[in-house]
Amino acid sequence: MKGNKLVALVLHMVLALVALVMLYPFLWMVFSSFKTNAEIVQNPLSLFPKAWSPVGYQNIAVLGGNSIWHYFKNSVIIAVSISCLTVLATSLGGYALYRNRKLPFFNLIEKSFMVSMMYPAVLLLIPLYVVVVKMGLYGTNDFRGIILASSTGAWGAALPFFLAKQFFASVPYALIEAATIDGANEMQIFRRVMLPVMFPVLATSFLVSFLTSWGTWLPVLMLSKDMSTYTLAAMLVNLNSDLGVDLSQTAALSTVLTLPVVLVFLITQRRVMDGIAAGSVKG
Amino acid sequence: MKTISLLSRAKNLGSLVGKHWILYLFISLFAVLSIVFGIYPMVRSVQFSFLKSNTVFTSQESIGFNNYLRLLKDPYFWDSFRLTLLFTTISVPLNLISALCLAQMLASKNLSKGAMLFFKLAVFIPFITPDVVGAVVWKQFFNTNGAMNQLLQRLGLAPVGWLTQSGTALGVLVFVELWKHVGLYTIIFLTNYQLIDPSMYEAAHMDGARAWQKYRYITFPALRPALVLNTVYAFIQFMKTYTVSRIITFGGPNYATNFLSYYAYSKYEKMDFGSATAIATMLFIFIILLTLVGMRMGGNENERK
Repeated sequence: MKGNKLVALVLHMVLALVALVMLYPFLWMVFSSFKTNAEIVQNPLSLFPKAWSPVGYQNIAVLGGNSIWHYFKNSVIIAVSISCLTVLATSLGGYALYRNRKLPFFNLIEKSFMVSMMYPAVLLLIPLYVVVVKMGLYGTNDFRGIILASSTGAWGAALPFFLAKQFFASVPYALIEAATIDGANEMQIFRRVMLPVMFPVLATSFLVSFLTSWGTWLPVLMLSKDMSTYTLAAMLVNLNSDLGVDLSQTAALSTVLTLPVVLVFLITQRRVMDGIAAGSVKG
Repeated sequence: MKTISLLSRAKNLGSLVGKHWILYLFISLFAVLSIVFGIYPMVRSVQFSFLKSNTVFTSQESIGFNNYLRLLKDPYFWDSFRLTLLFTTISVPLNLISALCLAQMLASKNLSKGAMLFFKLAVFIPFITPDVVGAVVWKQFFNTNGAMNQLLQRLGLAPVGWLTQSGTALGVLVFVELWKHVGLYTIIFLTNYQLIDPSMYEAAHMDGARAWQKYRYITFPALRPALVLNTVYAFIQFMKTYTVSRIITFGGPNYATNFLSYYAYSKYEKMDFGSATAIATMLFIFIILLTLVGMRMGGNENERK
């Protein structure tokens, strides 16, 4: 019994240390966002501010001539659109593959998707830029190229696709056969039999997609004509690339960028973690 | 003869599409994303790699394998290739072993439900945090005037130029990537742990099995599929590493973190499209070959079991 207590104590201590390392960046950015630049530079190790200062937030209220809400709104538009598009494409596509994968081109489509997952996503943007410009999906206030490029296997769609595939693998085919015998047509089978049972996986897929696409920045930087389509994350990269980094500004923008995903994640953590684990187990 | 068979095949195809048009409608969006924004740009990229760089957007002048030959003679390319391999060879086992240990600890009966949830969330939360944020914050932490060096000084140790020396800079990137990804691998292992039937351990205990025997004959085989999958995932992930070197080190100091993705991107920024796409193509072929080998090996072992 005594040995067990010692084991438990060591276990808690090790895990507490791990948790401290994992959570350190969050603590640093939240506390530093309320410090002045001078205070962060003077004593980088201390977390708690000596005097709470709003200056970091005042400095990010307007960035590159636009209000912070402009970039926040763009992040929402891009993340929500990518999520809708990937969920729609991967669930309907996954369903079609599940119903009859022997149809002409179906195998080719799936293989194309799997292969594009392995291409270095960053470098796929070079030819994607050409495709997007040629299709006329590029310009001021034009989000289409960014959204389409980020909804591919190389970028955000891999996990949602595996979630859908894993889900359909668990659906007994007898369900469909029964409906066919009852005389239901293809559309009725989908609407009455599949759609109701698909809701949980659609919700998980949407959440995972939203969380992973909220911080999109490289497709944004490469496929934007100007700052009209920049996201919060793209602005954070921009702040960082200059030589003189304003730390309180960086901390404040990091906080604004991180807060929404952390909140959404904490509210939905069970669904997200179970979903990702389930989608990955047999993929 | 040939035209007739082609015609009948086309007719056959037409009737199949007609009969299953709803399924084709369902898959259409997925097909557009996979082909128009997936395979097609990849093919274009390979095409670009055979063109003279400054003609990619104009006359598209072919120069055969010259872009590749130039790279094979470029010492920076070989350094970058070795570096990417080194980074991957360190990161894959480091992430998987850390994740296995964390999953084992989180599955322990000594943790209360609340504590288990807290630690699980703490480990996983970096994975859903935007990658720039982690990179930007850790960059400040390891800065010469940053928190890490202040900590060392308080402990009476000499400060270290974390991001200004080759070895330590690479180490910092390994650490930041571990921080970011270990949570994903941990929860995948953890889910597999929890699927193991506890009565198997009890039976083994009755038979007098030692702890390592239980691990060897019960835990390890049960985790095998997750292990294969995580290895493949992690391999693909780390071979493509980009963000940390772009944000934290800009490929430096002295090319010490100039990973292939970063090197190719810097070629692109210098308008050297031919070299950029040639590097991309070689990296892709390398990843796909090793992934196939890995899957084949993992698959065979599974069948044997």
